Amino acid sequence: MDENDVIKKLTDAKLPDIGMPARKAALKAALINAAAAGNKAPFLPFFRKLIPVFIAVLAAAGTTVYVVDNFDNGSKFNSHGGIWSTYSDAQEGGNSSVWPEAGLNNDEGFIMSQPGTGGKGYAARVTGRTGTALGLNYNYLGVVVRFDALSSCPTCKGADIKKYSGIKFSVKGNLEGGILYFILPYETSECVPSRMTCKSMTDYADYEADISKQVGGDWSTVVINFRTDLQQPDWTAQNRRFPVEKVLENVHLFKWQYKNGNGKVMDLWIDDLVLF
Amino acid sequence: MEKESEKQAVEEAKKDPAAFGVIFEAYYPAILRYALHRTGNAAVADDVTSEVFFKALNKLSTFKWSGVPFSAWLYRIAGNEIIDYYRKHSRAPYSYDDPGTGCDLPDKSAGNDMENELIKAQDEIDNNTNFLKVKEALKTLPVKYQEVLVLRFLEDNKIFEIAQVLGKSEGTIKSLISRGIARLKKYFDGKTQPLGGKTVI
Repeated sequence: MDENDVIKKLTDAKLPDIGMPARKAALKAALINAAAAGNKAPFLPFFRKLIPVFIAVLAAAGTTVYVVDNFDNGSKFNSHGGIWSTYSDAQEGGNSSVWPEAGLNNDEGFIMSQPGTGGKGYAARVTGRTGTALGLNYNYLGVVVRFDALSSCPTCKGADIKKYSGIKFSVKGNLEGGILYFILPYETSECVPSRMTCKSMTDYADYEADISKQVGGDWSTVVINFRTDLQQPDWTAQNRRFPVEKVLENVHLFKWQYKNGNGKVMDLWIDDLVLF
Repeated sequence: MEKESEKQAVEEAKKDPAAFGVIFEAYYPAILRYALHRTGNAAVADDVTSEVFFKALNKLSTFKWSGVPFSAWLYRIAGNEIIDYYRKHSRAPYSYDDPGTGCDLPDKSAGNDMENELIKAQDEIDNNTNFLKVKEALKTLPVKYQEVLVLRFLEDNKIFEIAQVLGKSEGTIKSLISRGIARLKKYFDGKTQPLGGKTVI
C-alpha cells in the first residue's frame, strides 16, 4: 500500500450527509431562548431539559396544539370567547397606570394593536407605568386573557388543559426596569361580583415564570413548560400551595404581570398564543 | 456563506441574539458533519455541535475579525469540545473511543422524531464499512493527526483553511498530514500482512 492508497481510503470514508432536522430545530430554538434568557450555565443539561418540550411541540404540531388566540381579527375576545383585559394596583389605591384602560368603567374594553408578528394582523399591546404608592413589591399592572367565554364571571368555569405540555407565545417590547411574569392563575368557580372576577385559590401566589429577559425590540418566542418552568412564589402560604396538575385541571385565564418597577415603564406586545 | 454576508451576520448577532439563527443555519451542517467524522458517534456529535453553537453564541462579543473566517473559529471550538468531551469521560487522547454511558443512544422503542434521528444517524455510520475501517485506523493516532487528516480528506478543507482552524502555519499542517499518512500506511500495511507473514496482534 502506498500513500495514495491511504489517501483514497480516507476520502472514501466520507460519511453521506446525515441530517437531523428535528434536533437541529430544537437546538436552534433552545439557543435563541438561552440567549434571550441570558443563560451562561453549561448548555447541555439545559438543552437536554428542553428536549421533552420540543418533542412535545413537534408531536403536538399536527394533533393537539390549541390556539388560544392568533389575533388575526383584532377582536378583544380570543378564538373561544375569552376576553382580554388589563388591570393595575389602582383598584387597591396604587398609582400604576395601564393602557388600554383597566376597570369596569372602560366601556370600550380592550383594544388590539397592529401589526402583529411578521407585520401582519393584530397583537395585544399593553403599556403602562408602575406606581410608587404601594411600595416596591406591591406596585403592579398587567394584562389577562380569559380562557374561554365560560371562564369569566359569573360562571367562572375552569378548563382542563392537563394534556398540554406548555404554552408559547410571541413577545416584543421594552421594559425600563422591573420584572415581567407570565402567570398561570388558580381560581375557584366563585365569582366576586364587586370586582367581576373569580376568586383566587392561592391568594394570588400563583405559578409564574420571569420572562423579562425574553422581551426585546424584535419579536421572539417564549416557550414555557407548565411542569418545569413555573413555580409558586417563595412567599406562598402552605395552605395555598397546590400541585401544578391541580391547577392545570382548572384553568380560567393566563396573565402577564409587570411589577417591582417603582415608576418604570413597560411596553409589551403579545401575539400567537398557543398551548402545545 | 460569503465573507461579507458572514461578517454582516456576525455583527448583527452581536447586537441581537435572535440574529444568530442565520449563522446557525449556515454552519450547523458543517459542524455536525465534522463532529460525526471526528467521533463516529451520532449522540456525541450532537452534543458537541450543541456546545459549539452555545459557546459561539456566548463568546460572540469576543470574536474579532483578523482575516480568519468565522467558520474556522467554529471548527476550532468544535475541535476543543471533542477533546474536552473525551477528557471528561477519561478516554483521552483518542477521540474515537467509546464515550461511555453519558451519551448512550436512546432506547429504540422510544418513538419520537428526535430520538429516531439519532438512531438513524448511528445506523448510517455503523453500516458504512469504509468509514468504520478508517475510524479504527485513526483512533490509533494522536489527536493532532486525527484533526488534520479529517479536516483535509473527509472535510475537503484546503491546507491554508486547516492552518486557520488550528492556528498553525501551512508548513506545520503539511508536515502533520504527511506524518499522519505515513502512520496510517504503517497501520494498514500491518493489517494487510499476507498469510504466513509476521503476525500482527
